[in-house]
Amino acid sequence: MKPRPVAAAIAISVGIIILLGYFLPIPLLVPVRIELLHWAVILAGVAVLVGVGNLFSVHFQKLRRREKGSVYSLTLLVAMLATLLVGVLTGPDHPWMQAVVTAIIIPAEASLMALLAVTLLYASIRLLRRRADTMTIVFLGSAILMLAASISLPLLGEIPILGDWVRPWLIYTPVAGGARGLLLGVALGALVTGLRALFALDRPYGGK
Amino acid sequence: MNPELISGIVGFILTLMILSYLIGDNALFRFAVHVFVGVSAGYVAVIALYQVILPYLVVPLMSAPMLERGLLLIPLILGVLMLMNISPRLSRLGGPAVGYLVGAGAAVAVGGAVLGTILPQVGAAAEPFNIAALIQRGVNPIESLLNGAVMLVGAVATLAYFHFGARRAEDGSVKRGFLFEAFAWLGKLFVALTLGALFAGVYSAALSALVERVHSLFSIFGF
Amino acid sequence: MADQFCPNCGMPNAEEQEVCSFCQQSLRVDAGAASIRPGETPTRKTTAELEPILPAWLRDARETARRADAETAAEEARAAAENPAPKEEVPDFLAGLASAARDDQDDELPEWMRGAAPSSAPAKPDKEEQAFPRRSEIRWGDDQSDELGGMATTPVTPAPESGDALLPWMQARDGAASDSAGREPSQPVTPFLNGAVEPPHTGELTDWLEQAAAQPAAPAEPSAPASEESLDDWLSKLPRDVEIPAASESPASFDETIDLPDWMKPAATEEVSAADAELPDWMASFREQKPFAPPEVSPPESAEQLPAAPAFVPEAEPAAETPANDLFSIEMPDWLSNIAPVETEAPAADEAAPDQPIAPAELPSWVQAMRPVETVLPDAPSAQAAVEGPLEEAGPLAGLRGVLPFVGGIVQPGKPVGQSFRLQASQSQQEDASLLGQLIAAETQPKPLRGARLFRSQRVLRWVLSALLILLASAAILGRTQIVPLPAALSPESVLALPILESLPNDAPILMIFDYDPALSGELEAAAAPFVDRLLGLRSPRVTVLSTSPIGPALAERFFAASVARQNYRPGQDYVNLGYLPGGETGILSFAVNPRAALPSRSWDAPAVQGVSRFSDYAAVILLTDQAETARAWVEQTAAHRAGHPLIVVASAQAAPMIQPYLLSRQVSALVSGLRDGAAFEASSETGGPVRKYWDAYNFTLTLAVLLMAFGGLWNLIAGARSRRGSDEARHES
Repeated sequence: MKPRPVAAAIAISVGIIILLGYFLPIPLLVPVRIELLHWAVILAGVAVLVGVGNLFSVHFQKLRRREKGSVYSLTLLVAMLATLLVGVLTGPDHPWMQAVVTAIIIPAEASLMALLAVTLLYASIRLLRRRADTMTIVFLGSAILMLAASISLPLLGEIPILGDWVRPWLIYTPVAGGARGLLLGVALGALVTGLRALFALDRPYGGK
Repeated sequence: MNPELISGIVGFILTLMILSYLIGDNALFRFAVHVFVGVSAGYVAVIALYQVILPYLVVPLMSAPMLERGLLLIPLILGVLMLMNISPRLSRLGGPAVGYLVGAGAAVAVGGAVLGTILPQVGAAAEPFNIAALIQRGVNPIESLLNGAVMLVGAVATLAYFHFGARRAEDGSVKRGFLFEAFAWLGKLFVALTLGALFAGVYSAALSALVERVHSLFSIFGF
Repeated sequence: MADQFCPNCGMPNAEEQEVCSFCQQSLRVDAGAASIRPGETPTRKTTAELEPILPAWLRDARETARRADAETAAEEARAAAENPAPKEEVPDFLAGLASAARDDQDDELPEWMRGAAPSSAPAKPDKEEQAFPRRSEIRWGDDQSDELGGMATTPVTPAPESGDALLPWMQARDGAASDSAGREPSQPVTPFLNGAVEPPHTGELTDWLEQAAAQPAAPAEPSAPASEESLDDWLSKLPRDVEIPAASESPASFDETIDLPDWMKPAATEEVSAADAELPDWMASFREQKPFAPPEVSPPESAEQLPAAPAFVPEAEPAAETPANDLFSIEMPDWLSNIAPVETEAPAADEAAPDQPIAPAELPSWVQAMRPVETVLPDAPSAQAAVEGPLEEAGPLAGLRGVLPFVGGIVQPGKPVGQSFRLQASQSQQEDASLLGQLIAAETQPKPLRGARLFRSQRVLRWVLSALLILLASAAILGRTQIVPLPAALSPESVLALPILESLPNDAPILMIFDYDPALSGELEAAAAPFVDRLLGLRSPRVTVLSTSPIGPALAERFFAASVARQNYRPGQDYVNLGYLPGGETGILSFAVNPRAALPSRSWDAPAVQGVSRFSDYAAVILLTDQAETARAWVEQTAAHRAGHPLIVVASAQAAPMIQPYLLSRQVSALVSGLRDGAAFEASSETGGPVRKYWDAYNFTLTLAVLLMAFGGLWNLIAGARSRRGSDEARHES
């Protein structure tokens, strides 16, 4: 792959200026940093359009090649273009666009999430049949314990001891410790990845 | 007809079409999902156009002062180059724009990780052992010490579980040290416990969504 | 497993076999028997020892030849003594030929050639044993030594009776097969050994052979005296001036000894016309050509005029009338010289008889000589009845019965019938072969999918679970049950929000961020509504709405639209929606650094955002999110810009565990998580809210799910352990 020095130079320079603003409150650097961040926000908005354009391109190619399932691609393209047309003509604040969100986006996404309630239940029931090692048993046991501690029974309310002692202790002590370890691990990974990108060791934008 | 009724009916039909997946994968489910993806993509494009491109670029380029307009040329050029990524042949031209975003994002991630997570969390892990402050706050120090110890062990053990550096023994096998192995085994327990709690939360959320959807199905009929 | 291996071909054979199934050689290798193996050069045999088995006519012919040789030698000696011939050197290019021929050719000269060619030198007695065996010397069927000379063949013992593999003539030799063990392995096997096959009685071919057997061998023609005595070369022996008898003459002398078929006689007259009708076409065409007239070579006047070089050497070319005579200035064998085309009315005769069957080919004498002896033995016992198969009437196998496996008749074009044969395989070999066949067959057979039944059971279980959950929720919703009490107390993490709400000034600007997906809008709206209602009702803050999700602004509008009836919050006045903030963490940092620059919007002029120019101007930040990553981004990027102002997170139950560490580190001031905390806030507010209508259904379905997980998991744990134990035991047993 051919090296791309311009992209690398831009990435490194912009990154260093923004990073310095975290640690060195140099007055001269503040407006530059603000402007650079502002431009990044603009480019991020354009990147959203690029993503939508790519989605359109993929399904259009699928439709053009008459691949299997291209009728669904046609449906997608028609829905996208119709929404785009209505939105461009009326604006995002128009009630019609609000109705699109209320009538289509929210019900569809919520229904997809509701499917998880059945599939996760089925998976958890059959989990121990496939593998019954320590980690699996602890995992399922803690899940059942946490869920049981959240239950409010008719007339009784929360299950005593479970809801009062077990669940709070679990959440604030071992679970919190594990979560902290995970968060530290994630942060360390982000740190290393970011530094590698700033030193041009990793180049997601292409080039050697 | 009442627009709310229409949107309710549409939502009702879409909900049934997607919930039909519980019976099995079918054409209705796929049709509904593709409609949802298309509408979402179109809506997002409208939002990006109206709430980013127009107010950030187009309007300032037409009405802002010259200096500001001059400065806006740079994101304009970079934005145009970013749009080249749509075409595979021209995607090479989008390198500088993507590089800009990568550099900015990497810097923000590094700064936030160091100042926002690593340092505060390390400090928080040591706080339960500050007995004086605990007493000053009226917190039981023994309970705090015990809990703090468990949390500290949990955090360290979790990090040890994900550490895979090891030495090669004389017989050629690769093994971690005994202490590391002990902490890693402990870390496995903490990770399993934490993931179980996360699973419980995910299932609670999914169940809430199911109940809300069933309620919305009946609400159209006045329930 | 083969019990013994053939010493000849090396193939495995059963222990009880005596003859190899593959090469038909004897499996019994005697120490003293010298059998020829593949790759080995055959051992020369003495043909003289085989003379008794030759047919009588051949024996007589050989005897005659010997006498003729002796007489010729005597005459030559006398002639040489009287007229010594000048020695002439053979040209160099023939020297090698001469020397080679001297060593090899002379002794192997067939009888018919020996009789025709004048031999200047007597036969070498020392090479008698290595000479090409004379037919008269070959004895078939007798106990002979291995010295068979050039006629030696691989000794073949009769094949065992193994079914169809045996040829009829082999099968006929019942007695021979049983006696094979007693015979020496070197004995050649012939179908005529015990007279199993009768000599053929077909046409004139056998007739003349029979006549030949009865007639004494005619003396060979006196060959012209050789001009060269020093060379033993058969070429040099051949006289240049020998008067080759004319075609018409040669048969005369030949006829004296053997009554040849007509086509072999140089018919010069029309008498052959009748015989021509039986001739094959190729013979007829040959007769149409220029008659092959033997060259007429005038005898040399003197010995000195005789050229020593062959006739085809130009300088030694004799004065010949025609060029053809040069080629034929050597004495031709009688069979070759007798083949003289005859001008006959053959074409007419051939055309006149298109329907007549093709006459069998007449074999020359040397081919006839190669035939099995018993074919022509007049006294061979007739055992035709015991031999199956057609009787060959033509060709070299004339007179033999059942030699070829194909039953006579018109040959049908196409695939020959496959001959079945049984392998000599032992029991263990057959078992191994069948096992191999089963293994191969099993590989090609599709295995039934074990998952078919399992898949059906999985689907049924999923249907049952779906039905249970939906029916239970439907029942609770339709029944509008409210039997499950709301939580009486707030959770410890949500309790922390109360003092924050208390400490907020009235009409303070607060930032409310709607960063959740529509998928969990039901849970979050239900969880946030009571808290937000309490906040709005308590302090009436001016709310700035923001979202890093494109759908967020729409969700915010929906949220506030639902709370209008409760709090009557007006857009623009009481709250302002700044819309979508792109860029994720970068956008959050940008907004935290300079809110107005990050989101240039006309909404900044609204009364709801008056006095807000920096991020720290917001008295509180309330984040509604369903993802721990979003919470982490807001916590990390705004910590330095909030100036100590609280950050309250209203999170989905799925994100709460990962936000706990930030709560413990006080980077998050309070945490309201899931439907439970919302219900608790709703219970404490006493104003009602959206949670109540979901609460019973949520708890009923959650209880059912927990019970199914617990008992179903236990059941599958036991069942899985049992199945694994069973498979382990089966594996150990195998």
